[in-house]
Amino acid sequence: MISYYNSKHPGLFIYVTLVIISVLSFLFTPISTLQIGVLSILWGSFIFMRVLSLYEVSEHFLPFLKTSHSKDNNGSALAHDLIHRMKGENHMKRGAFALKSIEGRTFFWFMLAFIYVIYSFYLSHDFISKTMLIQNFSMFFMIGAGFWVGQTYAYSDHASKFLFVVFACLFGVSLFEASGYINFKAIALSELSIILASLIAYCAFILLYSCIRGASYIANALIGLVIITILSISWMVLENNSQTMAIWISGWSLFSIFWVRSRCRTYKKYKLYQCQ
Amino acid sequence: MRISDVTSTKRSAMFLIALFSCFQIIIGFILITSESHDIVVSNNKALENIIITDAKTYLRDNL
Repeated sequence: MISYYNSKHPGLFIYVTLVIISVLSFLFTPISTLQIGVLSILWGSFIFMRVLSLYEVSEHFLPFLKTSHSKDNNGSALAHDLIHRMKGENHMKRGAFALKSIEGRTFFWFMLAFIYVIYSFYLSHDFISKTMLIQNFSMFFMIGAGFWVGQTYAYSDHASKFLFVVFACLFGVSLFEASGYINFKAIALSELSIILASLIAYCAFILLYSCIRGASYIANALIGLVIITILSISWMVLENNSQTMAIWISGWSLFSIFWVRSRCRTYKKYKLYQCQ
Repeated sequence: MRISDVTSTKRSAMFLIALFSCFQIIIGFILITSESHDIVVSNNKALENIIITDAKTYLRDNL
Protein backbone atom coordinates (compact mmCIF):
# COMPACT_ATOMS: atom_id res chain seq x y z
CA MET A 1 0.00 0.00 0.00
CA ILE A 2 1.32 3.39 -0.90
CA SER A 3 1.97 5.49 2.17
CA TYR A 4 1.15 9.13 1.75
CA TYR A 5 2.36 10.31 5.12
CA ASN A 6 5.98 9.91 4.03
CA SER A 7 5.39 12.44 1.33
CA LYS A 8 5.61 15.56 3.46
CA HIS A 9 7.76 17.58 1.13
CA PRO A 10 5.99 16.77 -2.13
CA GLY A 11 2.72 17.60 -0.40
CA LEU A 12 4.06 20.94 0.75
CA PHE A 13 5.25 21.88 -2.72
CA ILE A 14 2.02 20.71 -4.32
CA TYR A 15 0.11 22.92 -1.89
CA VAL A 16 2.26 25.95 -2.65
CA THR A 17 1.98 25.30 -6.39
CA LEU A 18 -1.81 25.08 -6.15
CA VAL A 19 -2.03 28.38 -4.29
CA ILE A 20 0.28 30.06 -6.79
CA ILE A 21 -1.68 28.74 -9.77
CA SER A 22 -5.00 29.75 -8.21
CA VAL A 23 -3.87 33.26 -7.29
CA LEU A 24 -2.13 33.97 -10.59
CA SER A 25 -5.03 32.65 -12.64
CA PHE A 26 -7.47 34.87 -10.76
CA LEU A 27 -5.16 37.85 -11.14
CA PHE A 28 -4.01 37.67 -14.72
CA THR A 29 -6.47 35.55 -16.72
CA PRO A 30 -10.16 36.08 -17.41
CA ILE A 31 -12.17 33.79 -15.19
CA SER A 32 -14.09 31.03 -16.93
CA THR A 33 -16.20 28.13 -15.74
CA LEU A 34 -13.69 25.69 -17.20
CA GLN A 35 -10.85 27.27 -15.25
CA ILE A 36 -12.72 27.10 -11.96
CA GLY A 37 -13.75 23.52 -12.72
CA VAL A 38 -10.15 22.45 -13.23
CA LEU A 39 -9.02 24.25 -10.06
CA SER A 40 -11.86 22.61 -8.12
CA ILE A 41 -10.76 19.15 -9.20
CA LEU A 42 -7.13 19.89 -8.32
CA TRP A 43 -7.97 21.31 -4.90
CA GLY A 44 -10.46 18.57 -4.10
CA SER A 45 -7.97 15.86 -5.02
CA PHE A 46 -5.20 17.44 -2.99
CA ILE A 47 -7.35 17.90 0.10
CA PHE A 48 -8.47 14.29 -0.12
CA MET A 49 -4.86 13.10 -0.30
CA ARG A 50 -3.82 15.33 2.59
CA VAL A 51 -6.60 14.08 4.81
CA LEU A 52 -5.70 10.53 3.87
CA SER A 53 -2.09 11.11 4.90
CA LEU A 54 -3.14 12.61 8.24
CA TYR A 55 -5.47 9.71 8.91
CA GLU A 56 -2.67 7.30 8.12
CA VAL A 57 -0.40 9.08 10.59
CA SER A 58 -3.05 8.99 13.28
CA GLU A 59 -3.22 5.22 12.89
CA HIS A 60 0.36 5.02 14.15
CA PHE A 61 -0.57 6.72 17.40
CA LEU A 62 -2.32 3.77 18.97
CA PRO A 63 0.80 1.57 19.26
CA PHE A 64 2.35 4.26 21.42
CA LEU A 65 -0.36 3.88 23.97
CA LYS A 66 0.76 0.36 24.61
CA THR A 67 3.94 -0.41 26.41
CA SER A 68 3.70 -4.15 26.12
CA HIS A 69 7.41 -4.34 25.38
CA SER A 70 8.13 -3.61 29.00
CA LYS A 71 5.93 -6.50 30.06
CA ASP A 72 7.82 -8.98 27.90
CA ASN A 73 11.28 -7.78 28.87
CA ASN A 74 11.26 -6.94 32.52
CA GLY A 75 14.99 -6.66 32.66
CA SER A 76 15.26 -4.00 29.99
CA ALA A 77 11.87 -2.42 30.00
CA LEU A 78 13.18 1.12 29.66
CA ALA A 79 15.46 0.29 26.71
CA HIS A 80 12.66 -1.38 24.81
CA ASP A 81 10.32 1.42 25.60
CA LEU A 82 12.81 3.98 24.29
CA ILE A 83 13.48 2.03 21.11
CA HIS A 84 9.76 1.68 20.56
CA ARG A 85 9.26 5.42 20.87
CA MET A 86 12.30 6.32 18.80
CA LYS A 87 11.09 4.18 15.92
CA GLY A 88 7.93 6.20 15.73
CA GLU A 89 9.52 9.62 16.07
CA ASN A 90 9.19 10.32 12.37
CA HIS A 91 5.52 9.46 12.44
CA MET A 92 4.86 11.80 15.30
CA LYS A 93 7.00 14.63 13.99
CA ARG A 94 5.19 14.77 10.70
CA GLY A 95 1.68 14.14 11.81
CA ALA A 96 1.10 14.96 15.44
CA PHE A 97 1.41 18.70 15.06
CA ALA A 98 -0.29 18.68 11.68
CA LEU A 99 -3.39 17.36 13.42
CA LYS A 100 -3.53 20.59 15.40
CA SER A 101 -5.27 21.96 12.33
CA ILE A 102 -8.33 19.98 13.40
CA GLU A 103 -9.21 21.81 16.56
CA GLY A 104 -12.17 23.52 18.10
CA ARG A 105 -11.11 27.03 17.23
CA THR A 106 -10.48 26.17 13.59
CA PHE A 107 -13.73 24.24 13.47
CA PHE A 108 -15.58 27.31 14.76
CA TRP A 109 -13.91 29.43 12.05
CA PHE A 110 -15.26 27.05 9.42
CA MET A 111 -18.69 27.12 11.02
CA LEU A 112 -18.85 30.92 10.73
CA ALA A 113 -17.48 30.83 7.17
CA PHE A 114 -20.00 28.16 6.21
CA ILE A 115 -22.87 30.23 7.62
CA TYR A 116 -21.64 33.21 5.59
CA VAL A 117 -21.47 31.16 2.39
CA ILE A 118 -24.87 29.52 2.82
CA TYR A 119 -26.58 32.79 3.72
CA SER A 120 -25.03 34.61 0.76
CA PHE A 121 -26.31 31.82 -1.51
CA TYR A 122 -29.74 32.10 0.06
CA LEU A 123 -29.82 35.83 -0.64
CA SER A 124 -28.61 35.56 -4.22
CA HIS A 125 -30.14 32.32 -5.48
CA ASP A 126 -32.96 34.21 -7.22
CA PHE A 127 -30.57 36.47 -9.11
CA ILE A 128 -27.80 34.21 -10.36
CA SER A 129 -27.75 30.93 -12.25
CA LYS A 130 -27.01 27.54 -10.70
CA THR A 131 -23.69 27.38 -12.53
CA MET A 132 -22.68 30.67 -10.97
CA LEU A 133 -23.74 29.42 -7.53
CA ILE A 134 -21.62 26.31 -7.94
CA GLN A 135 -18.71 28.43 -9.15
CA ASN A 136 -18.94 30.65 -6.10
CA PHE A 137 -19.06 27.62 -3.82
CA SER A 138 -15.90 26.30 -5.46
CA MET A 139 -14.11 29.58 -4.91
CA PHE A 140 -15.09 29.64 -1.24
CA PHE A 141 -13.87 26.07 -0.93
CA MET A 142 -10.48 27.13 -2.30
CA ILE A 143 -10.22 29.83 0.34
CA GLY A 144 -11.10 27.37 3.11
CA ALA A 145 -8.76 24.74 1.71
CA GLY A 146 -5.85 27.17 1.57
CA PHE A 147 -6.55 28.21 5.17
CA TRP A 148 -6.74 24.65 6.50
CA VAL A 149 -3.84 23.07 4.63
CA GLY A 150 -1.52 25.92 5.59
CA GLN A 151 -2.07 24.96 9.23
CA THR A 152 -1.11 21.34 8.58
CA TYR A 153 2.32 22.43 7.36
CA ALA A 154 3.03 25.61 9.30
CA TYR A 155 3.83 23.77 12.54
CA SER A 156 7.29 23.15 11.09
CA ASP A 157 9.77 25.99 11.48
CA HIS A 158 11.28 25.58 8.01
CA ALA A 159 7.98 25.05 6.27
CA SER A 160 6.36 28.07 7.91
CA LYS A 161 9.23 30.32 6.79
CA PHE A 162 8.96 29.00 3.25
CA LEU A 163 5.19 29.46 3.22
CA PHE A 164 5.49 32.95 4.67
CA VAL A 165 7.87 34.10 1.91
CA VAL A 166 5.78 32.69 -0.94
CA PHE A 167 2.37 33.73 0.39
CA ALA A 168 3.53 37.19 1.41
CA CYS A 169 4.76 37.77 -2.14
CA LEU A 170 1.47 36.52 -3.58
CA PHE A 171 -0.52 38.65 -1.17
CA GLY A 172 1.52 41.72 -2.05
CA VAL A 173 1.15 41.15 -5.78
CA SER A 174 -2.60 40.59 -5.40
CA LEU A 175 -3.03 43.81 -3.43
CA PHE A 176 -0.96 45.72 -5.98
CA GLU A 177 -2.97 44.38 -8.91
CA ALA A 178 -6.29 44.99 -7.20
CA SER A 179 -5.41 48.50 -6.06
CA GLY A 180 -6.70 49.83 -9.35
CA TYR A 181 -10.21 48.69 -8.52
CA ILE A 182 -10.75 50.74 -5.40
CA ASN A 183 -14.36 51.69 -4.94
CA PHE A 184 -15.28 53.22 -1.62
CA LYS A 185 -18.65 51.57 -1.47
CA ALA A 186 -21.04 52.29 1.30
CA ILE A 187 -21.17 49.29 3.61
CA ALA A 188 -24.73 48.58 4.49
CA LEU A 189 -25.28 46.89 7.82
CA SER A 190 -26.74 43.68 6.51
CA GLU A 191 -26.87 40.23 8.05
CA LEU A 192 -24.18 39.15 5.64
CA SER A 193 -21.77 41.88 6.67
CA ILE A 194 -22.51 41.09 10.32
CA ILE A 195 -21.61 37.43 9.78
CA LEU A 196 -18.36 38.34 8.08
CA ALA A 197 -17.58 40.90 10.76
CA SER A 198 -18.20 38.19 13.37
CA LEU A 199 -15.68 35.96 11.62
CA ILE A 200 -13.07 38.71 11.57
CA ALA A 201 -13.80 39.62 15.19
CA TYR A 202 -13.51 35.97 16.22
CA CYS A 203 -10.07 35.70 14.56
CA ALA A 204 -8.96 38.90 16.25
CA PHE A 205 -10.18 37.65 19.65
CA ILE A 206 -8.31 34.35 19.33
CA LEU A 207 -5.12 36.14 18.34
CA LEU A 208 -5.40 38.65 21.18
CA TYR A 209 -6.02 35.80 23.61
CA SER A 210 -2.82 34.18 22.33
CA CYS A 211 -0.87 37.26 23.39
CA ILE A 212 -1.36 36.48 27.06
CA ARG A 213 0.31 33.11 26.64
CA GLY A 214 3.78 34.50 26.28
CA ALA A 215 6.11 36.82 24.47
CA SER A 216 6.94 34.31 21.76
CA TYR A 217 3.33 34.25 20.64
CA ILE A 218 2.80 38.01 20.63
CA ALA A 219 4.71 38.72 17.41
CA ASN A 220 2.85 36.02 15.51
CA ALA A 221 -0.49 37.18 16.87
CA LEU A 222 0.18 40.79 15.91
CA ILE A 223 1.19 39.86 12.37
CA GLY A 224 -1.99 37.81 12.11
CA LEU A 225 -4.00 40.83 13.24
CA VAL A 226 -2.36 42.98 10.58
CA ILE A 227 -3.25 40.45 7.90
CA ILE A 228 -6.92 40.23 8.83
CA THR A 229 -7.06 44.01 9.07
CA ILE A 230 -5.79 44.26 5.49
CA LEU A 231 -8.30 41.60 4.41
CA SER A 232 -11.14 43.52 6.06
CA ILE A 233 -10.13 46.78 4.43
CA SER A 234 -9.84 45.11 1.02
CA TRP A 235 -13.33 43.66 1.44
CA MET A 236 -14.67 47.12 2.24
CA VAL A 237 -12.98 49.17 -0.46
CA LEU A 238 -12.40 46.85 -3.40
CA GLU A 239 -14.84 45.81 -6.06
CA ASN A 240 -15.96 42.19 -6.12
CA ASN A 241 -13.95 40.73 -8.96
CA SER A 242 -11.37 38.05 -9.62
CA GLN A 243 -8.54 40.15 -8.19
CA THR A 244 -10.39 40.30 -4.88
CA MET A 245 -10.66 36.50 -4.92
CA ALA A 246 -6.89 36.28 -5.39
CA ILE A 247 -6.45 38.52 -2.34
CA TRP A 248 -8.73 36.31 -0.27
CA ILE A 249 -6.99 33.07 -1.26
CA SER A 250 -3.47 34.38 -0.70
CA GLY A 251 -4.45 36.36 2.40
CA TRP A 252 -6.17 33.56 4.27
CA SER A 253 -3.41 31.11 3.31
CA LEU A 254 -0.86 33.55 4.72
CA PHE A 255 -3.01 34.05 7.82
CA SER A 256 -3.11 30.31 8.49
CA ILE A 257 0.61 30.35 9.29
CA PHE A 258 0.14 32.83 12.12
CA TRP A 259 -3.08 31.21 13.23
CA VAL A 260 -0.96 28.15 14.06
CA ARG A 261 2.15 29.96 15.28
CA SER A 262 0.14 32.09 17.68
CA ARG A 263 -0.90 28.92 19.43
CA CYS A 264 2.07 26.61 19.41
CA ARG A 265 5.77 27.01 19.06
CA THR A 266 7.15 25.71 15.82
CA TYR A 267 9.39 22.82 16.61
CA LYS A 268 12.53 21.85 14.76
CA LYS A 269 12.76 18.58 16.59
CA TYR A 270 10.02 16.57 18.11
CA LYS A 271 10.37 16.00 21.80
CA LEU A 272 10.92 12.34 22.32
CA TYR A 273 9.36 11.86 25.69
CA GLN A 274 5.67 12.24 26.24
CA CYS A 275 4.73 12.07 29.88
CA GLN A 276 1.12 11.08 30.16
CA MET B 1 0.55 17.36 22.98
CA ARG B 2 -0.63 14.01 24.21
CA ILE B 3 -0.75 11.03 21.96
CA SER B 4 -4.28 10.30 23.03
CA ASP B 5 -5.45 13.63 21.63
CA VAL B 6 -6.44 11.96 18.37
CA THR B 7 -9.99 11.35 19.44
CA SER B 8 -12.91 10.04 17.50
CA THR B 9 -13.98 13.67 17.06
CA LYS B 10 -10.87 14.39 15.01
CA ARG B 11 -11.40 11.28 12.98
CA SER B 12 -14.96 12.35 12.28
CA ALA B 13 -13.69 15.77 11.25
CA MET B 14 -11.23 14.14 8.86
CA PHE B 15 -14.03 12.10 7.36
CA LEU B 16 -16.09 15.27 6.90
CA ILE B 17 -13.20 17.04 5.18
CA ALA B 18 -12.71 14.07 2.86
CA LEU B 19 -16.42 14.17 2.03
CA PHE B 20 -16.25 17.85 1.16
CA SER B 21 -13.21 17.29 -1.03
CA CYS B 22 -15.04 14.56 -2.96
CA PHE B 23 -17.97 16.94 -3.33
CA GLN B 24 -15.57 19.57 -4.66
CA ILE B 25 -14.21 17.13 -7.26
CA ILE B 26 -17.74 16.40 -8.42
CA ILE B 27 -18.45 20.12 -8.64
CA GLY B 28 -15.35 20.51 -10.75
CA PHE B 29 -16.55 17.94 -13.23
CA ILE B 30 -19.99 19.56 -13.34
CA LEU B 31 -18.43 22.93 -14.09
CA ILE B 32 -16.21 21.49 -16.81
CA THR B 33 -19.09 19.72 -18.53
CA SER B 34 -21.28 22.81 -18.27
CA GLU B 35 -18.44 24.83 -19.84
CA SER B 36 -18.16 22.26 -22.65
CA HIS B 37 -21.90 22.55 -23.17
CA ASP B 38 -21.61 26.34 -23.31
CA ILE B 39 -18.80 26.10 -25.83
CA VAL B 40 -20.82 23.75 -28.04
CA VAL B 41 -23.87 25.98 -27.82
CA SER B 42 -21.88 29.10 -28.64
CA ASN B 43 -20.14 27.34 -31.55
CA ASN B 44 -23.50 26.28 -32.93
CA LYS B 45 -24.75 29.81 -32.58
CA ALA B 46 -21.72 31.14 -34.41
CA LEU B 47 -22.19 28.61 -37.19
CA GLU B 48 -25.84 29.54 -37.44
CA ASN B 49 -24.93 33.19 -37.78
CA ILE B 50 -22.44 32.42 -40.54
CA ILE B 51 -25.07 30.47 -42.47
CA ILE B 52 -27.65 33.22 -42.09
CA THR B 53 -25.14 35.88 -43.13
CA ASP B 54 -24.11 33.86 -46.18
CA ALA B 55 -27.72 33.30 -47.12
CA LYS B 56 -28.50 37.02 -46.87
CA THR B 57 -25.45 37.86 -48.95
CA TYR B 58 -26.47 35.32 -51.60
CA LEU B 59 -30.00 36.66 -51.77
CA ARG B 60 -28.83 40.24 -51.96
CA ASP B 61 -26.39 39.50 -54.75
CA ASN B 62 -28.67 37.32 -56.83
CA LEU B 63 -32.05 38.93 -56.55
